[in-house]
Amino acid sequence: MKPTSSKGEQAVINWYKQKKWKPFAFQNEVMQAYLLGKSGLLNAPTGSGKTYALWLPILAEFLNKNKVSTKSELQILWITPLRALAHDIQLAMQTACDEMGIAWQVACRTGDTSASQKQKQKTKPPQALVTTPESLQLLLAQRGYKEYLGTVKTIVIDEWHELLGSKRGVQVELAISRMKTLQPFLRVWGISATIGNMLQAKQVLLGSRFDEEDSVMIIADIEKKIEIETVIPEAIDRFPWAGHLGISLLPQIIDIIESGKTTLVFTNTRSQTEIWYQNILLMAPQLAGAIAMHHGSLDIEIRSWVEQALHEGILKAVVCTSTLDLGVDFRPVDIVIQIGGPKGIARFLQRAGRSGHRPGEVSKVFFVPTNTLELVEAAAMKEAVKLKIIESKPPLDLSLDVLVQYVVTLAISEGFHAPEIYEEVIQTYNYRNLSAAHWEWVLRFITLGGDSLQSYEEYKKVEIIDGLYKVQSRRVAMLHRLSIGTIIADPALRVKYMSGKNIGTVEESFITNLKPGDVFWFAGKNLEYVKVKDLTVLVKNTTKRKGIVPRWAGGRMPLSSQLSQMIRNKLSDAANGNSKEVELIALSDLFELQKKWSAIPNPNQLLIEKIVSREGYHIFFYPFEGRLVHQVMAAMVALRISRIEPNTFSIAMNDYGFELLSDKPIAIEDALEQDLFSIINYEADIRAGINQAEMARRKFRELAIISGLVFQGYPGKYVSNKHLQSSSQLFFDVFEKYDNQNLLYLQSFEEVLTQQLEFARLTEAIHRIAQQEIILRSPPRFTPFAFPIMADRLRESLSTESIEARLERIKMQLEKLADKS
Amino acid sequence: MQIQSLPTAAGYIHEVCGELLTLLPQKAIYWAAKKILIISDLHLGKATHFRKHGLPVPSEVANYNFLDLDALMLATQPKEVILLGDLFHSKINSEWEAFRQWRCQHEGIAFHLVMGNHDILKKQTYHDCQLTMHAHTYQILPFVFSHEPLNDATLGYNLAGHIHPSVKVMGKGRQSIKLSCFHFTPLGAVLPAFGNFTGTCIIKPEKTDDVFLILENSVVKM
Repeated sequence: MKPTSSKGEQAVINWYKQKKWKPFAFQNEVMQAYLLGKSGLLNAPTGSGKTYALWLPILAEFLNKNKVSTKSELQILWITPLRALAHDIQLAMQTACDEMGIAWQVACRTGDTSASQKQKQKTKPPQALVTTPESLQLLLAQRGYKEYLGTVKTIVIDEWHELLGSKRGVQVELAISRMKTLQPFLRVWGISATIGNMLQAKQVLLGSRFDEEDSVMIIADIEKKIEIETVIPEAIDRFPWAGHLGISLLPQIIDIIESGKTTLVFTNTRSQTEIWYQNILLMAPQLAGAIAMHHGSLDIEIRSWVEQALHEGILKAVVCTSTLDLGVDFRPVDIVIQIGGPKGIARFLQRAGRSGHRPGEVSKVFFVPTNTLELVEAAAMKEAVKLKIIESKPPLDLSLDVLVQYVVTLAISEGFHAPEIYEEVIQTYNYRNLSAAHWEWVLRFITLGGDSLQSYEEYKKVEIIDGLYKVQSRRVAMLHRLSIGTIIADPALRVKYMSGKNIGTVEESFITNLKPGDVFWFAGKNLEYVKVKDLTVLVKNTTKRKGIVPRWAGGRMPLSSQLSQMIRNKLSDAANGNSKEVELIALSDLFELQKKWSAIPNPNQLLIEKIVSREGYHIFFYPFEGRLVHQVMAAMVALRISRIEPNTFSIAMNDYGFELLSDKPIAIEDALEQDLFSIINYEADIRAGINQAEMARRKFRELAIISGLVFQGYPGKYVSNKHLQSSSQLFFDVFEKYDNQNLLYLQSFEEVLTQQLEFARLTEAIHRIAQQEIILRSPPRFTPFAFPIMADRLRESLSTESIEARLERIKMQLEKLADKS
Repeated sequence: MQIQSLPTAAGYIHEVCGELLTLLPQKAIYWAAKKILIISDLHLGKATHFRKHGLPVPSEVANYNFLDLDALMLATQPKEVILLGDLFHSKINSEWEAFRQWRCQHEGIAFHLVMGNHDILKKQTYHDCQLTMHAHTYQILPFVFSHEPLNDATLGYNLAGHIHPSVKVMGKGRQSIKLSCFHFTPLGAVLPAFGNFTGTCIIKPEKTDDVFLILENSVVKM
């Protein structure tokens, strides 16, 4: 379109030619926008050449400047969420420089970078630096950061969709707000995969100091072809329960693995990864040595080895969790298998994209249901992909813990003037509503240690010297620096061989239930527990079989609301006999029985089932809103029912519905008459129904670490602080008792409500239900919809051995009844 | 009996070696027959110690420690107070002076301190505060008082602190709550930590032990 191209553009065109690559339209678009001096957000998938899309315009602009000086000052800052990626990106960037004859140095700075390298980067800055959000904060904690970062012309945030909605993303927002003052012409670019709220993503990235005209949104016109195939079991369980079905599909899974070059097998939890790895090996011993596993609790060395082996194409398959969702492309990967419902469309697409990632190639993904009802999820997923529906990543709001950390960071390097920083901070998206009163509170908190003016003389952290907020104590500064780099992890114990080799980490609660001599299955090995010493679990290999698999908290992802919506639509198709998808046709027997014994709701109905069994009186509700929303809704419903007639319930739920169980009859008809799902006072009822304080107490741990209330410790760095040890729990207790207006304390409740309990979604669901027609049925036995919820409850209350047999027995009885009816 | 001046519903009277001990929800033991009040692990000064190092513990914590002590003294009216160690958390700070003043308000009462691992102040400091110091143990039969629990009962039934015991009580829906407790074994007993900015350690009692849970205003046997 354009008549002439500049010197820099020409160099880039030549570079593409040499590589025999043809630039995509979006790559050209970024070039034009960048050379015009704009900021923006590039929406491009992994593996589309998105790094070059931004890096080449940067180099072109440099070449266009007449003076080809390569002064030793930082020009470009490149932020990546994963430090494992930093090195690969740096390599790609450096290579492009070298090939275009630009004498730039691209360096990498992460938690793994040695002190001497960091020192070198400080005295002789590279022209470009690839780093993580934490390391960027650490740069702000350095004396002289203003001069160091003041020369930066462009900051690029890679994988912005990963950072958006997290506190690390907020750290980035704050850093940008500071750099924009140091360099008023700073350009900010983000690179993001597709999410539901792209415009908002751009708004959060740029904050309010960027005009609309100065910024662009560029969408990669790459049509990524995805082929989704569901592995449909031969025999369909009419009474499905989670985890049971998947393993019976092993022969098909092994066939798929054998058919391709390299397969990534994604599971939803770390425990599932262990179990599947074990089972694949049992069924296909010929794969020994050619398959591996990868999850967040394995030692970094093991993980790096697996990643390297993936690159080299020497592995046939890797069983993994979300730890391999992101990152550089593993070229040999040509097949992806997803085991169990992925619960979200974006996550599923991200995983699917790990295969056939080169432009033009098709991503091939197999979906393996772990219970028959997940076939509905598969059909819903396919529909969503077809309709290009995708989840949003809601940004965080008013994260005061991050703000406390940030201002202390500024106070330990050069100190700060409060009015200047306030002006900057309120230009960010997160703190756009930060009131002057909240800001004052933050300042008092870091200088006086709280709101009270009593006995403040002894508090020592940030001091005000001639209006400058500054940390004087070297010890405070050191502790703070160490805590910036800390990743908030669950308290975990290291697992090591007696000989000293690291294997990974398990949670403390798992180990406390083990006795020496017990066998557990971890990292694909049978390990015998020997003892715990200095927060380390010592183990040795054993030939004993039948170990238990560790459980890690937070493994289960809830169903996203977009996918829930799709599922409700698919069920309605099934109810009306309009199913076309193979997945749903395969389920026709199950649907038939569900209809016969009860009903299948359509989107404007809520199905409730009332069942009496030897266990007691059950009520099942099916809002199809995901486990988290069900948990809260169940608590609210239980509270409202027991107001009519006092009763106690045990509660169970899955992604499709929830169950209330009592040993006496439940007055559900009365409750429905009195408007059980009324929107009046529901917020108060929810607060009363759940033990929010306990949830907030757990949430508070993260806030306490980020805002520097407790020091988590740092691997390899021992800090003598014998008399300063405490826990976030202890802080929570004293705030609760003596300072319950503390904003960090209050924030923990807010975060439970908005993030953990997805309050907005819950509100929406309750409004929807208030409009729905309620169908109350009294089926003779547990229906196909009810059975998996009941099974989940039983499994959590009983030991594994006895429960499997018992569930099978119940299932057989139900099947018999179903055949007769 | 003195017990009557107590909020009796609150305390739990437990018989040990023929003596009646009142286990108080204020995290202390009152030995009514001898008019002795036994308190462990006050960790005074801890909040201020933290604050000096930039950790913003609410300063009210310190004041409430003294308010709690006042309430306890008023309810029991003891003739003697035995402190089972870890009276002061670390190096000296303003809270010690507050304690000294508080001590002066109770002139007529004898105070005994069995030294704990945190008690690192100068001897003179304790003397100035009219505390009778005991390096390891202090004996009033049938009991022997110490900071760390003793392994044998040769000197008497041991009353000690140091552990900050608590138990995890499981509730419905896999919820659990941690409660401070008194832990009585055949050899001796461990008191809960009195200080209101102290953590706890979850104990695993044996079948032969008795555990008394501290609720809001009462003590119950588990």
